[in-house]
Amino acid sequence: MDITKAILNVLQKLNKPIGVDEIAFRIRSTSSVVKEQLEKLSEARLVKRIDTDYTIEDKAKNSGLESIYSY
Amino acid sequence: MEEYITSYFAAFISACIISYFRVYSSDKFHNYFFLIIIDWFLVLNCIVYGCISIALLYLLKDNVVSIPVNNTQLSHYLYPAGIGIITKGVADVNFFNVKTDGFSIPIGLKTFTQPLDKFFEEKFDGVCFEKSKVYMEAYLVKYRHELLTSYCNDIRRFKAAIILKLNSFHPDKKKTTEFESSLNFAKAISVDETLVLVLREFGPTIFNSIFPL
Repeated sequence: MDITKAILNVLQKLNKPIGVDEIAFRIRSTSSVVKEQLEKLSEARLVKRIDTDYTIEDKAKNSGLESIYSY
Repeated sequence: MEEYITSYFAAFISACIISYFRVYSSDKFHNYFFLIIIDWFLVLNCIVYGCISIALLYLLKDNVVSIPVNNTQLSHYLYPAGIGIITKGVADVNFFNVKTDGFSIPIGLKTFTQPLDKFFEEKFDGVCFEKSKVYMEAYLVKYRHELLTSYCNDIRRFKAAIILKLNSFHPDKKKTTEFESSLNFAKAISVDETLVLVLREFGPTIFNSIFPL
C-alpha cells in the first residue's frame, strides 16, 4: 500500500486528530516522510490540520478511499 | 463432566498460546513485542481466540477428526489441543470478497474475525506508540546531545556511525544493507527518526547494543 493511502486509511480508521509521529508509527514510516505527504494532502484538502495534529476532511470521510485517492 | 472441562481447557489454552505466538511472530509487532508483552489487550486477544476455540470444539466435538486415543497418556488432549491450534486458521476462512465503494469485504468466517483483528491491531499500535515514547525518552536525550557534541550536529555522520555499528552487531549483512538503502533511513533527518527506525527494524537487543545508555 502506498504511503498516501496508508495515511488516509489511518486517519479514517481512527477518526480523530492525531500527530505526525503517531501516524508515522502506525504506518511504519518516518515523521519527515509523513509530514511531506500530509502537506500535499492538506493542499488537496483531504486532511486538515488542528494545531499539531491532523484529521481527515469530511469530504474524504464520506467517500471511499479509492475514489478520493485519484485526486 | 471433568473430561469435558479438561478438553475445553486444553483447546482454550492451545488457542491462547497460538494467538500470543502469532502476535509475537508478526512482522508488524515482533520488534515492539517487549512493549506489549503483558498488555491487557494482548491478554484479551488470547482470551477471545480461546473462547472461539471452545465454540469450535463444541461444534465439532462428535469426532469430526478422529485421533487414536490409546497411544499415549496425553492423547485425550490431542484432539482439543489440535482444535485450539487450528482455531485461527478456521476463523480466517474466506470464501470470496465483495468489493464496494473502494473497500473489499471478505465473506466467510473472516467477515467476523477481520474487524476483530483490525481492532486489536489498532489497540496494539496505540499501546506500542505510547510505551515506545516512554522507552525512547532517555535514549533520545542522550543521543540528541551526542549528535551535537560528537558529530557536530551532522546527521549524515551520525547515520554512517550507526551503519558501522550495525555491521558489527548484526549478523545479517544483507539486512543492514537493505536498511541503509531504505527510503525511510535515507530521508531521516533527526536523531529521533533514526533511533525509532533502528528499534523498529532490528528490535530491542540490537538497539541496546548500538545505543547503550
